[in-house]
Amino acid sequence: MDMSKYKGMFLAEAREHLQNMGALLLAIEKDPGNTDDTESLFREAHSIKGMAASMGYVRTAELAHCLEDLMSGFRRSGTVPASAVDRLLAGIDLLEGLLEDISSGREEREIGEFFSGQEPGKSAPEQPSAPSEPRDSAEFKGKEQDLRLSVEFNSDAAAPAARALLILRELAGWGRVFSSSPSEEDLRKGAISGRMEVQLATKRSSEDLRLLIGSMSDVKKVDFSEPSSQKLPAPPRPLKENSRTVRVRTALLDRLINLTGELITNRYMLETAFRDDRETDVQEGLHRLKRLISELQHQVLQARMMPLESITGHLPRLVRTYCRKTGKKIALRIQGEEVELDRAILETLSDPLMHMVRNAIDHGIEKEGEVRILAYREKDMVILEISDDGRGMDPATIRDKSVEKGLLNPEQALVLRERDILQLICRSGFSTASQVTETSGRGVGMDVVKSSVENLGGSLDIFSSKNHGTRFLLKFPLSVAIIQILLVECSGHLLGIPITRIHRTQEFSRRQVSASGGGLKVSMTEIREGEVVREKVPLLSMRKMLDMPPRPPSDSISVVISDIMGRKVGLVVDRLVGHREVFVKSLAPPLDRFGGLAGATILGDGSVIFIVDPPSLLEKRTSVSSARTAGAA
Amino acid sequence: MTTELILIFEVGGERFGLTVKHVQEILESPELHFIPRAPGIFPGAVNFHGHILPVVDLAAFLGYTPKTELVRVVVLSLELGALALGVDAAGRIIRLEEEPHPAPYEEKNPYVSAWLEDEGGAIKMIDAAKLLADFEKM
Repeated sequence: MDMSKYKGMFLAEAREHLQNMGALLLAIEKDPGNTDDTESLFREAHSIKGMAASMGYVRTAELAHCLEDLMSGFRRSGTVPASAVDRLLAGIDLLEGLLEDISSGREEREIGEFFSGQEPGKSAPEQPSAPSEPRDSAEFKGKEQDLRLSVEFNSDAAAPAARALLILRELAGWGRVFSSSPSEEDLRKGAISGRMEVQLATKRSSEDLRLLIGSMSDVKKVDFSEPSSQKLPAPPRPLKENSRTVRVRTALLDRLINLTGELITNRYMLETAFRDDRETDVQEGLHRLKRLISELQHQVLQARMMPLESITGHLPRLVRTYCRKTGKKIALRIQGEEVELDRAILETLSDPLMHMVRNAIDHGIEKEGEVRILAYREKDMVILEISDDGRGMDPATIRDKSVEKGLLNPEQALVLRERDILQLICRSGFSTASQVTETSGRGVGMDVVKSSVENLGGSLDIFSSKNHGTRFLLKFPLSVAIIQILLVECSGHLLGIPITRIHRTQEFSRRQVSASGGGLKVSMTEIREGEVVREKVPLLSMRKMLDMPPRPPSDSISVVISDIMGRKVGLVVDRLVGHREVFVKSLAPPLDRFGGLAGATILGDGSVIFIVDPPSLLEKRTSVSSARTAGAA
Repeated sequence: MTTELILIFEVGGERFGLTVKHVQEILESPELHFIPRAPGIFPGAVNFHGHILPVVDLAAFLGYTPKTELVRVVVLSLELGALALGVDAAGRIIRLEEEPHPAPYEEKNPYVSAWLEDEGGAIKMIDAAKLLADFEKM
């Protein structure tokens, strides 16, 4: 079976387990006797081991196995010694490295050092050679028993068949699988209806199997139809909702289905009202349609939302490591981790957030203090505050230094308000000026932070005064409009055309262009529903539509085929540059008055690209010269 | 005593003033990005910290002969609206010592609300709010 297509799923899940392990370890460090956490940690390690083994990642599996062994010792002794936390954290780091290797297709890195770093003199529970309870079949001295196992999957499982296959593989490692329903063959074809039955003989207890399989993602319930002699433990805790993958909650799907139903009803209602010429009903129907569509848009955007937690999860770890290294005493308080944001925003925000926290613990706080992250919603915006109670920054010093560095002329400095002065630390020239950084205590990479936030359509405010800490206030929209555009070039300028407006793109040679009926046309061949269709498509010059000088003749032309008012037309551009996924910014007046512009976006290099809407570009010209075509194309 | 600050800039050989309250920032020869279908008085847009602002060539707009290159761009306060003014020279800031007097009746420019006098002659005070309001109605 080809496992490579499950690699992405494996990586996403393994990373999630690792993140959980990190968080659990920090909790255990504070409360070493919490057996629930110890138990969970064991299960997380075990899940990684099982998944990695099924995928054939030997070293990852071996390391996870070792961590699992360590944990099983602590599970028995009921407490985790402080010395072990560091070792376990080191193990997690190494696992992260291994995942990176797997992700980039490299060979898994060496892990021998981790094992050799284990001091033989350590207390017994840390010794992997002293497992407290038998978990590997080789070590199990009990009798083999026949079991009939049924596994129920979550209804929103992304690939239940693949998951079922993985479970079958795991089970095969723990005993002998006699039969399964659906069969392995059927599973490979993807056939499964949310439930799998397996008959096997194993030396493991049903309790063990329930625990191990129950801890896998997507598994809702594990049942045994042959009651074993042992008392069954309480069912496993409900699995935490998986938010780091692109799964859509069933409730949301249901809502979408309902909306679709309402739209269909609405369509029938409109059709009838229109046929019977009942104008008020048509009006009402349109009104309803408008509401349904905006509801649909809202719900679809919901599918992209994830909690802030997905990017703050690793921060406690970062702060802890830093404090260990430097001897500072810093508390990190995070509030509002449940606030939901668009995935794209979270991805863009992840690094800047880490940066600001690093700045706070590195430069802001001298010996002891608190860093606070606070997130909350305010209408359509999300506010994210990162503050510390450290030494703060002195606006006067920043102003003087900026003039000194030539970032500002004295006149400009006079105009600036205090909060604008603090913004100067976001200038790239400021960031690299090391003396300034020392006196102000900040600056590293703030230019990157600011531009990331602004490119999302958000804003960054800085509040600080000497000895009174620093507060960064980030505001950004809950979601952003992300669309695919095609970048084209006309007369040396770049423009964007929404992909949704494009039928296809094609290069034509000059001789494929023919003059007919006062305009130029190209013959296009297409295969539609298995039949070859030839049609003549009129050409329109994008340059002409944009009042640009005509292009000198060339051997071939680049054409964007678009649908305009139900008809295919070919828009002639100078060059097809490529596809981009962009955040669309809506236009404020007077830009929205020019006609034909659907929005604008800022590319990675800071350049502004306007997005044109071909039909409305043409609309304005209808009265004047719609019949004119690409003469000079 | 007023402490108002006035930014002085030049357009078409004349001096204009703008209250600093209405100025966000002065940019030196910023990169201008092409705006499709924009009227000729808009030579392009600037990316001002993620805000996309159209730049209006003030000389062309006010009926002077436009220069070929915009040397300075005055970004109007973002609270006021999304617009930047391309001017010939800018930078000096003066402290307003006395109230400007109303523009004389021969002043034909509808955006000049008042005049200031100094040793160099008249400084015409631009009413940025009126300018923006008219652009938004365009």
